[in-house]
Amino acid sequence: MLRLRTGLRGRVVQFGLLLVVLALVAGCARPAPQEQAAPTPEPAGPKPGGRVVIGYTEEPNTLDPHKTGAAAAWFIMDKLGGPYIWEDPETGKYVPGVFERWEASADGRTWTLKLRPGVKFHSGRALTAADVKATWDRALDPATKTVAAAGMLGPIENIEVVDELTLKVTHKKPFGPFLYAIAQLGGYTHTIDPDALARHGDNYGRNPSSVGPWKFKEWVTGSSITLVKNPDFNWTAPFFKNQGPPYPDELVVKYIPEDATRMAALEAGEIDIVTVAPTEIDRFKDDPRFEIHSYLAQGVNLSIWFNTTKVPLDDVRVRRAINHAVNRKAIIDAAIEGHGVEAHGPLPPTIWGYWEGVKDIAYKLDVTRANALLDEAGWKMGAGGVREKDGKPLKLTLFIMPLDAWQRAAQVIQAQLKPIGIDVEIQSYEWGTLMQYLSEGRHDMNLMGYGYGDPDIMYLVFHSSQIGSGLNWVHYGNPELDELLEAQRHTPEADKRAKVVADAQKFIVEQALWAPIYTQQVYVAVNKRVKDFRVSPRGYWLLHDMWVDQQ
Amino acid sequence: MSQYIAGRLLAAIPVLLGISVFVFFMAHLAPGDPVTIMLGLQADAEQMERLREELGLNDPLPVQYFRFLSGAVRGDLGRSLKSNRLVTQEITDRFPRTIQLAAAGMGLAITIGVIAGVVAAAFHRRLTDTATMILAILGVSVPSFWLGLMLIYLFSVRLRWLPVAGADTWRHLVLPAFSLGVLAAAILARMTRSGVLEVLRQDYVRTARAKGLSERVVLYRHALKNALIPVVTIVGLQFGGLLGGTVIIETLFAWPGLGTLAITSILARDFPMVQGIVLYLALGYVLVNLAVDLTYGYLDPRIRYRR
Repeated sequence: MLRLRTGLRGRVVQFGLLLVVLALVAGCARPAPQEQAAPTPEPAGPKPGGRVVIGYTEEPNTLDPHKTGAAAAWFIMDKLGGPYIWEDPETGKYVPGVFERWEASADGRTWTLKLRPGVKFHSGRALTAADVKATWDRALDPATKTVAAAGMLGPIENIEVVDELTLKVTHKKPFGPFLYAIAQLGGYTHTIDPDALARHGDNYGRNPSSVGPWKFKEWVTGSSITLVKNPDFNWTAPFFKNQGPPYPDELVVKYIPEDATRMAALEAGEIDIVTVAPTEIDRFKDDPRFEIHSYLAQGVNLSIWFNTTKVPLDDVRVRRAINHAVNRKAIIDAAIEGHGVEAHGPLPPTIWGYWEGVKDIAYKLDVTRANALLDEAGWKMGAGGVREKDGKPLKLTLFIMPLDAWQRAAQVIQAQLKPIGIDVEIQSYEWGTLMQYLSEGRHDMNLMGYGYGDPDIMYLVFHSSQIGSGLNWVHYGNPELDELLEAQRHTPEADKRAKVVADAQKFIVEQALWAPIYTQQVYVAVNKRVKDFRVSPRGYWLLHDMWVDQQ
Repeated sequence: MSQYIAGRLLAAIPVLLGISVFVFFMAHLAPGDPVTIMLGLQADAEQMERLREELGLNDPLPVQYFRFLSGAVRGDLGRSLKSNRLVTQEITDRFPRTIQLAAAGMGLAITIGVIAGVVAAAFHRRLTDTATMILAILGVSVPSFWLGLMLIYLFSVRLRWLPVAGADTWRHLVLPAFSLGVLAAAILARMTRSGVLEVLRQDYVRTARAKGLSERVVLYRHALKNALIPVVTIVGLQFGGLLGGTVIIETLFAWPGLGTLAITSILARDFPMVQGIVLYLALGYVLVNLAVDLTYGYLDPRIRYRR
């Protein structure tokens, strides 16, 4: 799932809620309905039937997997198409799903993929290797103008149908992230039912059909998407207890853009499952009506990114000084009320390939060291507590989005850099504007966060090809780093790739291209009438054992 | 009369044209690039360039504008950059929802506002009057967003009488319509009150009372009807504000109308969508004002329509 933080309002809502709470405490309403005290008989086990409603922020733009890169679309397509292979939540290893076997050739360029027999489309027709090829050919065809899927599948040279159930995929160069593309990113790469595509043409995105556990039923524009269970489904991952079709009859995803409203819908029982912001979780933690699941996000949710082309941030000593000056713990407390862990490198421990050595070379809080580095770089403390060099004061802009947590973090950072003589000016922009300004390099520093499941995120952020049009908003281009980032892409052997990925992390930390701040804890609240919902340690929602207690 | 209506509709053309120019250039000149926003993490320079070319975003702005305009006069507002659906289809999916919400909000506002205004005037300078006017001041000052949240918390979360979000049944309409209509209701209450008070001082009211008509007949038959003309004007003006207010209220209540679509389209720099929405809203505003002007004739037979 790909996601950059985009955001909505904030403090108004909290202030508003606070006042509401005050008004209610002042005594105008009945107390909240409490959990029934009477002992209910222990449910005997999973029962089919019922519906589960998931609350989600934004609506997808389309459900055509090749026409979108939206996380909201992935969330639905992942249920419609399902991963080809699954990551076992216990072992972290890939296990079979729609693909029974997958093997790389000796040179790492060719994957032989074997379909599980008996997999059927929602229409009832059997899935064949030719269907997978047709889908991927469509994704790779420039005429499709594929948004995300083609890049995920990698530089494919040729796809060959060996027999009804066997497929050979040959890349131009070995492509490391390929398994990720057919596993967690299966939402984007799943097989399209060719008959449905032919029937609906341009409208396929509102009438999708594939082989997953859930079938598309209805999309009410602006409101909700309803899926119904696929009664034929029996090709799920082996780690689920339920090997048949899903238990609930319906899965509804309801779109509620406003955070406060979404939380109210959870409290009112209108939605069963929803992600809860760290700042809101205390309200729900002790509420007996909900079960809270929690995991560390896959990504670094907040970092200071340095524009390395601008004086003085082109000097690594200044970047290191800032890294030494920020008190990450204080920022975590202020921004997300302590619900996170400090980050010291470009990858969190939750992404495969995370290098433990980052801890040893991390920039610890050390204001003396920070001051020394700035002195060394020629920035001398001037009048008014702001450093100067050649008559120029050390003033840096910090571009942010008007998200609550970011605003608080920015203010703390501003206060933390003041004692070392850096005057920070915070500038807040809405997402579209911010992206343009960062691409143009108008900023000195910016706050940014990402969520991604593969170390390849480093390529997207730090490779020189990503300057201007991509996410390389640190505007850093270095042949040595480029080489590492390319090598990790083209090294499919896990241990070799891990080594390259570690080297890249070391390089990025040593060059202090970011000041990583934190990875946050993600909370999912589930109404207790929904049973056996699970989340993998990497944050993937495991819905296949889920059932509804309809008593 | 029909000539008058035709004239007014013709006059709407330059208005819409002006709005289209304004919105088009405002949208395109603001920083932010739809293609970058759309591709996000998967950006690849070549692919982005291809998409930009495909969407015609590389042409000079005037060229893009005339392409948009020549489509628009044929009823083709283009395709959404984000969903690739027809703008007109996306809007017809949602416009009825916004109309429904705005009409319900306005209906509530008129009912509450006019009744409260008349009551206040009838009990001029008594407790009822003061209480009504305090409520009206509150109604004008309370932000609809905050009011909406408060209503959700009370009626949906605590009392469980009404649903929080969505648009499935009429019960979903109550809270958003009320949140939306409160401001207009408060303004209308004040307008109605002062209008009625002023009319009550007129000679013909004294005459009516002198002939021994009951106070009720004086109030409703003579005073109210005459007091309503400025009120109707305000209704027309408020309707514009109401349509704007739907942006906030729809987002808050997850009401699937044009307001939520407007927000997401602006954030995504979905130019054709934004242009289409503004044009529809502008057209709606023009039509409502025409309806208001036609209502004058009903209320005051001395008003005649001429081109």
